[in-house]
Amino acid sequence: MDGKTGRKKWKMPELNGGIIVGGLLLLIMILLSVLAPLLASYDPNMGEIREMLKGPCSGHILGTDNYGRDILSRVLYGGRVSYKVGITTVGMTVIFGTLVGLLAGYYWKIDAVVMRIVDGLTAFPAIVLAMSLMAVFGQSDSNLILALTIVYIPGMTRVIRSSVMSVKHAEYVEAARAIGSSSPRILLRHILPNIISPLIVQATLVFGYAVLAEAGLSYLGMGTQPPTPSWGNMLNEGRNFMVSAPWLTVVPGVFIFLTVLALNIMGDGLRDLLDPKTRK
Amino acid sequence: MNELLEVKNLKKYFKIRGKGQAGGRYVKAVDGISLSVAREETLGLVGESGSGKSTLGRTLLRLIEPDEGEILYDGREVHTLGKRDLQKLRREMQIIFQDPYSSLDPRMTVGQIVEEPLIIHEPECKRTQRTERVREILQLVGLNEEQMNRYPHEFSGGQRQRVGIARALILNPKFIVCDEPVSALDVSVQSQIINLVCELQERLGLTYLFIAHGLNVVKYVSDRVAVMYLGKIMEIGDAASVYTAPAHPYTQALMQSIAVHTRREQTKRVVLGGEIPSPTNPPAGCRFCTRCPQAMPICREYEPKLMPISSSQAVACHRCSV
Repeated sequence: MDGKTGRKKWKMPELNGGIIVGGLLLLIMILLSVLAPLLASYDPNMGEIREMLKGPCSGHILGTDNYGRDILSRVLYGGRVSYKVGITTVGMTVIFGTLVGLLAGYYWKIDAVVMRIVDGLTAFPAIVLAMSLMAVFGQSDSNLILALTIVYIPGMTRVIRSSVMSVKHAEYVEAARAIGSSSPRILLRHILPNIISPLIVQATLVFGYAVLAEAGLSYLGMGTQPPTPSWGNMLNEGRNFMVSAPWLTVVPGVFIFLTVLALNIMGDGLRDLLDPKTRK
Repeated sequence: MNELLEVKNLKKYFKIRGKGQAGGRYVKAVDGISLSVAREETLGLVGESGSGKSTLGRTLLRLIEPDEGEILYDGREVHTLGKRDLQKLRREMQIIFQDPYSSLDPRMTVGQIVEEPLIIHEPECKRTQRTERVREILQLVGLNEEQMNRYPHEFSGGQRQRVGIARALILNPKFIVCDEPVSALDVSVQSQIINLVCELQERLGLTYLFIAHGLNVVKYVSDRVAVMYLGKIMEIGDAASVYTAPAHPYTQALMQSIAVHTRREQTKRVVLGGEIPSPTNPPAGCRFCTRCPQAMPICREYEPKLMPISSSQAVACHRCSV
């Protein structure tokens, strides 16, 4: 009984609409890619010249591209690359960006050094920075993720740092110090939970950016190499046929859109769930 | 010796960052304060906003590092303690904050907030024991145990302040700085909290430094009263003497600012003009001379020292020493 132990038994938190809707949508999207070998009826890399640039029809539900490859199969397989890059990049960006942001926001000595580096990185346009990093690291999926992580850490760091700074002078932080909390404890138990909202928002943004940047880099020949599909390089390949065969770009575009939408809805729901004030 | 806390010539200057007129100068928030608090006594500390009373309270606990001077707690030199020892000392010296709306972490339940000091200071204490202690202390401050799992925003101001008090008390401290614990509360709740604070003192044998910006609140709780102005103590003494016979013109003015309507004789009120001067550039001589109705030429030149005028009262004023 709660009263007896006085401690809240861990209950499954009541899920709100946002988490359910966003989560389901995301789950479906991810499953589509994971199960691509079962769902796709064509080899994503093999085209039939006779079938090229066909609009949606019974044989190819979402049409074919300029090499006669099935768009549905390509978009399902393409999600694998995009999700891998997007999710891993977000994960690493959140971990490192939060860590650095917390330290920089809390200790002004670290701040002075770290923020100069962050400023330096921010000076370059994201895509140029990612390109130069790829040029240094060499071309591979993991290097792509590494490069994108480095590109997006500064933004994350800035968001976290400024949130920490706004929270660290709160009286409850001083109260924590007064009862003898160590700095790591204050950072993890008091400051981090109170800056979770901007963190989630930034994380969902980074996912969208990462998918698009992967697309841009693929276009420049530094991301996923053709013929392997990713949503990004599908978009780019379809650009020349935007008017005559819009499904080439619309289909991967819609998939990116749905994924980012799902993440945003879920992020909103997650934020509400973690906030005691809105939790029922 | 019966002093629990002794402060000698304590100073805290805040440097103003940046350039411009004030840049590089100092805000003299606490400027050479000496006082002592006896065991189980309440020292009321009164002053206007900006007089440095909160800074003083926090410096005593080393939530703000002092620049100069000594803080002796129970014979130990607080101002020289290292991190470890300071942490141990936190068990004995606690603080109740002014604003119960901002001093409780909004992401933690009341139970977690009150329990946290135990987790830090008594890691050997089992969870069930901790819960038991939390429950006891919540009862002591007049909350019930069902409220443990609620979040601060579900409580009223008075209840929140009770939580703040519970957090301060759970480690059985001896000395508590009450930093204007009621000034953020409704008037109707203020007296409840003050009564609670007084009651707890009797039951637990606590020693208080009770900070307030008006004399009326301090009147009910204090054994002795210190009046602060611009980082200095103007007058200190037994509550009875300070209230019946305030010696410093500033204290007199403060006294007359409260509850005039209860007094029979409507004596001529001294109303202080102007604002408290900037602590970056305090007036030469007596700090109060710019607003003092009884200022003499000497007041603008020499700073008066805190001198005893009776066995129970000391005043920093040229008028009283001549």
